[in-house]
Amino acid sequence: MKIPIISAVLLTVAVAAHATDDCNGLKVDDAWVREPPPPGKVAAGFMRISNRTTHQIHIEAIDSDCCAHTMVHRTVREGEQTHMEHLDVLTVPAGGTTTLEPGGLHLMLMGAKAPLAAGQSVNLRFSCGEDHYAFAAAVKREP
Amino acid sequence: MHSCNLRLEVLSFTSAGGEKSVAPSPIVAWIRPALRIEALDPRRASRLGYNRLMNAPSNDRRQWGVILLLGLLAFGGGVYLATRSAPPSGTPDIPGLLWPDPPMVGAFELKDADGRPFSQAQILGKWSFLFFGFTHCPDVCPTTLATLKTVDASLRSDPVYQARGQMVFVSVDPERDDAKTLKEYIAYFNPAFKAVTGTDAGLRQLTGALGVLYAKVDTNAPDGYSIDHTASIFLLDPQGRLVALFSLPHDARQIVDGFHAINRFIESQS
Repeated sequence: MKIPIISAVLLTVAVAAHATDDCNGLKVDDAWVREPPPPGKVAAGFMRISNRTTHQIHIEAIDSDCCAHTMVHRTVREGEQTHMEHLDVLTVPAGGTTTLEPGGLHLMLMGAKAPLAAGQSVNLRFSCGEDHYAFAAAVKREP
Repeated sequence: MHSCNLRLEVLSFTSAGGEKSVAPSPIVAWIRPALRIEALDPRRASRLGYNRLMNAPSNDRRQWGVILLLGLLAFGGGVYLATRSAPPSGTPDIPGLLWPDPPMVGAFELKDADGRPFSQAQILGKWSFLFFGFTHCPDVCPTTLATLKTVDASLRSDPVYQARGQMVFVSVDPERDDAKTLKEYIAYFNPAFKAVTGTDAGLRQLTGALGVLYAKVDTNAPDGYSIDHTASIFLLDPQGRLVALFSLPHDARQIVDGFHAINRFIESQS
């Protein structure tokens, strides 16, 4: 009886470790950063993140080559009020998609080294444990 | 944010178009000053649990007792308002319309991005779209101002808007949004838009009349704080009455159509 229990525990630990330690299976589409209006202190980034595996992927950190700080926030509406919620970890569901879009989840890019302007490209990197997933996002001006 | 939202519900009633909004009534007038203080004083707001997502929650039982008591009072008030404020038959079903008894904007003193006074005098005689936010706002404010830019472009062919329409961005972050910052910020969207702000007292005069809430909240952002705020678009008529409220998510076409319908309705009432 003990052997199946131990096996189950080990399997759970293995799956959990697998779920948090690599970015394999992540795919980012339609990534873009809104050109920030002056004073340009903060910019928001949007994208569609797909997970092609059968387990959750946890994105624990985000870096960019444009800005000192990059993090994930969610705009939350409660009645007529809005506020920002900080996410320590962005979880992409197994076989699913997490969408970052205006009015909802978004990247916060703060402390730009130089003003971000439409036509530029920002290099971004997700960290899942020790593993990374790099991609680029175009800076765009909304019409 | 628990307590503020709790009382926001109290201040709600169903508008002619089926949306919830603030109601002008003695009960609201009685509750509103308390709301304003809590919303504007970050220390007090924090103590009351306003910064729920940014700070550790308080476990003060007395606080919850007070909130519960106020909630019960609020619920009773809300039921009273909802019953009392049901729109009379004949009021058109226009989304966002606040009718009858729209709240009035009274005297207030702010400054525009050129340092000129912006007060009740700049509201009277105009159709004004007002949006409250701050320039460090990364998502809702630029999205909404981009929507208002589209609305403005669509309404340029409307003779009423062309003659008497204005778009006004009200910064609730006077600490960071000085005149120069506001001028550059609003010009990015449309140089014809107005950007205004003022002292806390001046902002309270306007936000209090319209039921707008805002509060500084600590964040892990390098610039130290963000601001929770009401993100609806307010439409004031030339008499300074809040005649419509457009809630999130904002849709430019719906706002343009709403303006035409509300304009026709208000004209028919005079």
